[in-house]
Amino acid sequence: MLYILSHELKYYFKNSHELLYIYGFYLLIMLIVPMGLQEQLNLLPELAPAIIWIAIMASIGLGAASLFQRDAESGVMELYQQIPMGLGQVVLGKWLAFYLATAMPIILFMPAIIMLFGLPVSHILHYAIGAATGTLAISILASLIAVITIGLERARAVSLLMLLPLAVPVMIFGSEYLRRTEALWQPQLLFMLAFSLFLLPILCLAGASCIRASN
Amino acid sequence: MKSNSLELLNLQVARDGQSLIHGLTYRLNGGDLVLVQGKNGSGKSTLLKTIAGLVPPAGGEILQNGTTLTNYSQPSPLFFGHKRGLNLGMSVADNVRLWARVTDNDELYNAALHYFDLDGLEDVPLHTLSAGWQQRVALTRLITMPAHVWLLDEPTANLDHDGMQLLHNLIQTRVEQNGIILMTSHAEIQGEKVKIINISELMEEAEVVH
Repeated sequence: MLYILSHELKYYFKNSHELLYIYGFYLLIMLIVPMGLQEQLNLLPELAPAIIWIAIMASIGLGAASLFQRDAESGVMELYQQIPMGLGQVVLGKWLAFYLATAMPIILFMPAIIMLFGLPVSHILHYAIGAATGTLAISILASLIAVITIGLERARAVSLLMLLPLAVPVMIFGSEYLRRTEALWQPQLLFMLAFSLFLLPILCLAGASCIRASN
Repeated sequence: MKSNSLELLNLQVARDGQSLIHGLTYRLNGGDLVLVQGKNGSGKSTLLKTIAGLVPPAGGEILQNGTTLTNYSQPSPLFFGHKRGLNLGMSVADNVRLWARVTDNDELYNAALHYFDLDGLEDVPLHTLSAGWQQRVALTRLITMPAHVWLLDEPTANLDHDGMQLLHNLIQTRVEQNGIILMTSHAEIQGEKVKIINISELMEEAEVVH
């Protein structure tokens, strides 16, 4: 699994344009919303949690669509089925690399986002933890959808259409967590962690059978 | 290598629900080199994919050393297909090393690069190489992923004379080492012991009997 993880991280490093789309999309949504509000900029701090979640869902969903597709098209997926390592581990390694490569910058952008939305600087840690946990849940969900739609033409559009409704629970709990800044440990955080923990084995098992079925 | 055999028992092969090959019974032993021939669309590639376990057989059985071959069987046959399994956005070394590592054969990495004359090209991005050199990079898997059975679908594509010679030598060595090779190829295959399965003729004969 670690070989797959390091190989995938190297892939993102050498093909940074793939990640730049994701970051660019994320930042653009954040920048465009304040422009649309114009004179009601005082609403911005209250809207911040919802906007952050929509940006995370859209950018991660878009980025994950090609996660398995590119290996299926190049024939690498056929080879992964011929090695002693289980396909579940391959899926796990690919997801983990994707999560690390997308979640880290989204967390690093947080101070800038906090300032952009006029939120108190003391909320940075709270927002970073919330975004990291939410990205965890959404990246697993998005990877699951990507592996289910493997081999499908125009998978990108289909996977975003599937992701957005399925990610609604994460968005509801996640934005509520961002609003309750009085303590770091909140039940909403626990929900997002439980959601991730529940989905991770499903991703590995269902992912392996979807890949085999797509040959 | 220990005893090595591959049996196709009344094998039926289908693609997208359409039956291409039926009633194929054939036994291969260690040291056999079989050339699969047939018209375009006769099912050559699908036959290889089926034996590789990538496509389930529509009927019949495939036995490796007497036990049914499934896509979980180890050691798995090595399938070299039309899709080359290369990551063009990465370097030659990245592409070769991945397969040496995941099969626990990291020590074969240098030998594989050296055999296909790729020394010094390790850090070159794959998309800057010509199709023939990319093919050589893909063929390094024959060294880094040892398997008892090789299923090669057009392995000679894009290769120049030298590359072809390297591949032929590799195939001959494998055959002498008791390996089993099934391949499709438009290029001439040298060797005294080449056997031939012609799918188109086999299926036509079957039609006449019916």
